[in-house]
Amino acid sequence: MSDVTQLLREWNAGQPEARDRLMRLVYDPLRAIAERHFGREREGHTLQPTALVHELYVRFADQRHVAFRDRVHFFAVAATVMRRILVDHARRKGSDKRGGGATPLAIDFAVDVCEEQNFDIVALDLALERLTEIFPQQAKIVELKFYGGLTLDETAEALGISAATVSREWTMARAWLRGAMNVS
Amino acid sequence: MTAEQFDATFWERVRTLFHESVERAPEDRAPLLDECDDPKLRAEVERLLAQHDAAAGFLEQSVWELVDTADSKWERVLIGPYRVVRQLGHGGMGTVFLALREDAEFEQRVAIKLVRRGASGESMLQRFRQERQILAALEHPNIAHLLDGGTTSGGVPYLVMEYVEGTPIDEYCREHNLPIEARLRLFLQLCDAVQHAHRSLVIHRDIKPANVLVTAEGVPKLLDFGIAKLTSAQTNATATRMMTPDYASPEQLAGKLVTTATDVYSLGLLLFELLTGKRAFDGIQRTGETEPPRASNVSGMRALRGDLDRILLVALDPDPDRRYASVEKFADDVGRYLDGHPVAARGASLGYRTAKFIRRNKLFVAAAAVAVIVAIVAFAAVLQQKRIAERRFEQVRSLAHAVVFDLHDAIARLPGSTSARELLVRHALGYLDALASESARNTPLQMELAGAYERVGDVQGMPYRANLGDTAGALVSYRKALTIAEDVRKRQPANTAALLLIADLCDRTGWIEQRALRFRDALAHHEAARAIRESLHDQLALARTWVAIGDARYVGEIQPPLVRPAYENAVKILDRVSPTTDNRKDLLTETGRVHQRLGAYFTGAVEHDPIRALQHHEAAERALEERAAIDPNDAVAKRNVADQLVMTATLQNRVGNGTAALARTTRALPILRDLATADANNIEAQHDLAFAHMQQGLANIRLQHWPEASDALNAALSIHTRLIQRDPTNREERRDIGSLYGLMSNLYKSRGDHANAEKYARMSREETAKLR
Repeated sequence: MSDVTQLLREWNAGQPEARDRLMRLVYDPLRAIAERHFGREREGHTLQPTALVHELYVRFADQRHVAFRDRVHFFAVAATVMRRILVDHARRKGSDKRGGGATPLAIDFAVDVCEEQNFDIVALDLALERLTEIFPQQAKIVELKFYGGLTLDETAEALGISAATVSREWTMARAWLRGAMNVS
Repeated sequence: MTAEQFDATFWERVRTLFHESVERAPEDRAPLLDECDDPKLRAEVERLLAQHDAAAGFLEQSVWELVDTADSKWERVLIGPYRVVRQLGHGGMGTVFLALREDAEFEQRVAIKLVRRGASGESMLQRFRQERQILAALEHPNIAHLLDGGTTSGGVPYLVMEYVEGTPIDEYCREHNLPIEARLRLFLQLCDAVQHAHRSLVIHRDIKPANVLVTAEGVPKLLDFGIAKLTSAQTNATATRMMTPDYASPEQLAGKLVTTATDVYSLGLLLFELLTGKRAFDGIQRTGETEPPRASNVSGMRALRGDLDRILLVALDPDPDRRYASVEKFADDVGRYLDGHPVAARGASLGYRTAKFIRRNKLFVAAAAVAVIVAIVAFAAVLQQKRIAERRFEQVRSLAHAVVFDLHDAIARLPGSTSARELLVRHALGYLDALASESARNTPLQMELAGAYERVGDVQGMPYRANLGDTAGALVSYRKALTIAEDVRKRQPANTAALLLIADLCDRTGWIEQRALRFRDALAHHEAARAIRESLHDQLALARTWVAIGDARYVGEIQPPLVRPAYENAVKILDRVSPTTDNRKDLLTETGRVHQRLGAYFTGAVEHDPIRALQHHEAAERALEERAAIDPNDAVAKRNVADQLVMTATLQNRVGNGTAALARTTRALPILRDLATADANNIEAQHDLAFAHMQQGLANIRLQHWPEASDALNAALSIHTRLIQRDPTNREERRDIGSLYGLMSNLYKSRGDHANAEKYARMSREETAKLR
């Protein structure tokens, strides 16, 4: 089960295919976590998403042999995967209006909620892709904060930069994305 | 605009200028922007600044928080094949929705209960499925039927129930201003429903007005049968908390065992409310001993005085044993009142109580059977929650401790529990591991960790006990434990617990080494254990180590003259131990074991003396049978008796008394077969069974029962063949196969079949050759 650790190392060592395998490995468990989180009832809402993701990490990684940086990277991967999950669902929802019988419950609910708040998951994804080309660090910050649910300090820790830098780049990324998404 | 039209330098300048400008108030930005020579740059930054100034709240919440703070919009949601129409209610146990079956030809309205979180996990779901089947079988016109159930794609369990359109019974009675008699008749229909469920051993656990709806036709329907148990089975404590406290029985409040008497009590509270319009304990801070008030006093209704008061007092007795023994009796009394007969509640008779006693004890037995499972589920659930929550070091630790030590020991003696034990211990070990890495200098914690590794090793492959046959894994676990314990010893040379643990680990390692036929290594470990134990006070353990030393020397043929003194040392030590209730079982087991060994010793070549051998074997049989008689359900003790029988049979075979041998194997085989079947993963049990078959084969050869002999030997062979596939490096296994082929060869030779005799002799030689 220390697959994730190994893949993280390979990814660190510059092997991009490790990242893809990692995504596949983490996608389903993370979706289940998100389902549980979103499907939860009000009074249980005290858990941080990071705690949930951490739970997933513990399940995968053999803690004894994992450097701290790996754990942080794991959160980064989880955020990316979370983005993927939401976008997949938003896209599928757009293409087939509940075609299959087994529509996942809570993820769709999350997508709905985003829509209600005038928040287009797919548009954000496209904008983020463009932002990645210009300011990759800013895009990463958005991913960690928005999809990963990381706090400012956690984001700083994950990226190895100061909280002040995160705060500044975050400010600009928001403005940039808002423009790119044509938010009224 | 598109981003691609500018280059990296341009964007870098945008970034710098944006950061500089954004720190200023909007009106102070112009001078800075005026300095900019590139109009495109300026336009871009101004656009960003405008977005920034309007961006309050944008992306401020993460997607997780967005969902958290959103209003529930369940309407769009599908649960399994059901489309949610609206939320019906929301209680401690979960959320209830009105839903329509999507794929039904006719429109079917159902109520769906999404089970509260925390009820996930494989074992939990399995339990859920089992319970659902029981509940689905509950068919009664006054019970809202359970139609379906499952888990959402996110793993949340849900129940689909008949949707009842109706009014809660208390409201119904009030609205229709029903007379007392009509209320009682409504109540009796309800009793009939509860009674029906009790006959299927289902307890409602949460009877209250909100759970009884009366339809427009005036039919009462009881909702949520058994759901309280399903949705709150994590722990008894939380189950109690989830109860509606106003309607909970005293035993529920006290977190005690819930029985049918609980429903009697809740029905009493319901009836009280139906008759008086008030809750029996409204506003009263109630403990388990609080006596109920008189209905007539609370309501001031004279009509309730007398029999109805008394009926309610019996139903609401804080002591479950003094309540109506069943819902049926309760209903009977209400019926007698309606018919004008004297009610039983006038004098709670002795006859009642006897019947009640029997009934309650029956339930108790059933409850005990699931208690272990519930405990495991509870601990797993608690651990899960603890991990997610803040890392409360001591709590996690004590829980892990409880799982590894208390729970493990509690189930270790149940047959068939080997895999469950491994799962349990491994799970908890993960926590301890993580904790240990955080505090390498914490001696008590290190000791616990070492102890936990020891347990894992035991489950993996400790000889003489149910194990998974992973001897290599067991050695690794013991090695880990030893390293930690030795570390503690280095720091605290007088730490008795550490010394004891080291000695135990040395013995365990030694036992495995013996099994692997590495007798010199084994002897070294046992001697190390002995050296430590000489200085400690556990005489029984010291005797056990002497037995192990004798074993290693005897079987490994290391200085044979020292074998008997080793065993005799053990006998001497055991003879000096005075039996107490605490040590009696172990003392008998050890005594049996030493005599068993001496019996084997006098059977061997060092000092061949069959008479003394038989004496020792008989002594062993006496001790072990006395031990087994203490706990007739103890699988280990039973197995020891069976082992001894096989050993005596072995000796009888050697001295040529086939009849005596056969009598013993015939007694031993059913026990061993049961043990092997009960725990198919337990290599040890398979092994013993194979050996018993072999002895039976030998006895039959002596008696010239050829077909029986051949059957028995083949039974042994097929077991060994299966075992060696699982553990190809096991040398003992191979040796046994070799000897069995040899026996088959002898068998054929005796029957005059020389071709087969030669074939098996050759196979036997090949197996033996692989050992070198």
